[in-house]
Amino acid sequence: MKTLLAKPQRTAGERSAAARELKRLDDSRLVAAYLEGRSEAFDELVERYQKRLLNFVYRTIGDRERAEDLVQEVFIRVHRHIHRFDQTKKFSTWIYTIASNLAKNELRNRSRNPLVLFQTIKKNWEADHRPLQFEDVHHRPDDLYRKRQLRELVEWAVAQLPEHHRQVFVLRELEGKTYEEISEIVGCNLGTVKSRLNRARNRFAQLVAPYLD
Amino acid sequence: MRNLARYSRYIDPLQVDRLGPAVQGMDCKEFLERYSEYRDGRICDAEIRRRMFWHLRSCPRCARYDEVLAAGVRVLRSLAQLEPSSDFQKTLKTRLSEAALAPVGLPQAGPVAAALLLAAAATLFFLEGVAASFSEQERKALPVVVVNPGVPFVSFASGEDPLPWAVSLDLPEPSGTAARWVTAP
Ligand SMILES: [Zn+2]
Repeated sequence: MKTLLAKPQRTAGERSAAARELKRLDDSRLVAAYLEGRSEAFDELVERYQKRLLNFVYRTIGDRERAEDLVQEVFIRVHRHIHRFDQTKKFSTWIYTIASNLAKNELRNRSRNPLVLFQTIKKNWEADHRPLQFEDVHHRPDDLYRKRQLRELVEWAVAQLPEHHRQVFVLRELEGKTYEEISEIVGCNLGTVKSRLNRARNRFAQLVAPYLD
Repeated sequence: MRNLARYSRYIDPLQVDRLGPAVQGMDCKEFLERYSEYRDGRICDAEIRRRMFWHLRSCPRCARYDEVLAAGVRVLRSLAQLEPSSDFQKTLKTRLSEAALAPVGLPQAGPVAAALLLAAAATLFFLEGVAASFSEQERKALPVVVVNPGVPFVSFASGEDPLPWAVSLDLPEPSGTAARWVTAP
C-alpha cells in the first residue's frame, strides 16, 4: 500500500527535462511554480541569482567570505517569505533589496565604533556636497598606483566611493538596474538616486583619470 | 590644447557659436549636473539634450570626463566575477532545513529582541495588574494594546530586518519600506 501511495520516482531523464523547462521560465513564473509545489523552482532561483548577488554584496562590503554568508542569508529570507511576495512586483528587485539591506546592516554593524561612525558621516557629507567638477589631470604620479594594473585600479576606485554612492554606482553600472529599481532597492527617492549616481561617477572618473591614457 | 586631437568628437567652439543659441548657453557645471541622466538616456527635453550633446562636442574637459568614465566602466565590467564556492548550494540546503526547524522570529532577532519581548511582556503584566486596581473610568483611559500578528517590522535606522516587504499583507504595514513597495508604480 505504501508503495502505491508513494510519489512515483522520476527518471534522471525526466528530472533533467523538468530542470530545462524551469530554466526557460522567467522569475515570476518560477516563483509561481514554487508556490504551486515545485520545489526545484527554488533551486533554479538560487542558481540564477547566487553569482549576481555574491558579486553585488562583495562590491558593497568588500569581504568575499562574509558576502557569501550574506547571500545565503538572502536565500533563507526569500525562502521564508516567498509566499508573501507580491507577484505583481519584480522578483529581482525584491531579492536585491534584501541583499542591499543585509549588506548595509553589515557595514553598519562594522562601524558601531563612534569614531568610525563619525568618520563615515563626515565622508558621506563631503561626498554629497563636494562640487561636481572634472580636472583633466594628465600627469601620472610615480607612486604605487602607477604600477597597478588597470583592473586593480578600477577596483580600488570603486572601493574608495562612500558606501551610499558605491551601491548606486554598482547597481547601475554593473547590475544594469534602472533608476526606479535602484530607488526601490536602496530605499531612497529618484532624486537621491540621480544625485548619488552623478556624484559616484564624478568621483570614480576623478580617481581613474590619471591612469587612463 | 595639445591633447585635443585625441578627442574624435571634439569640435571647435567657434563652430558651436555658429550653430546658434540652440546649442549655446550650457556651462560645464550644468553639463556635469545633468551628465548621468544624459548618459543613461533619461533626458526627455529635446532642447536640453541637444545642448548637452553640443557641449560634449565642444568642451574638451567634459569630453575627457565622458571618455574616462566610459573607459573606467569598461574595465570594471571586464573584471572577473566571483564564483560561489563549490559547496554553496549544499551549505544553503543545510541552513534552509535548520531554518525550517527553528521557530520564525526570535532566533534571527537574537537576544536583544528576546529581551525586549520579555520586557514588553513584563510591562503588560505590570500594567494589567495596575489597571485592575483602577476605577472603571481610569481603566478606560489606559491605552489599548494592539498586537500586529505579522512578523515584527523593525525600521532600518535601528538595524533593519532586510526583508523589503514586497508582500500582500492583510494588515496595513507600518511606514518605511512596506509603503514604498506597496505604493511603488
Ligand atoms: Zn564642459
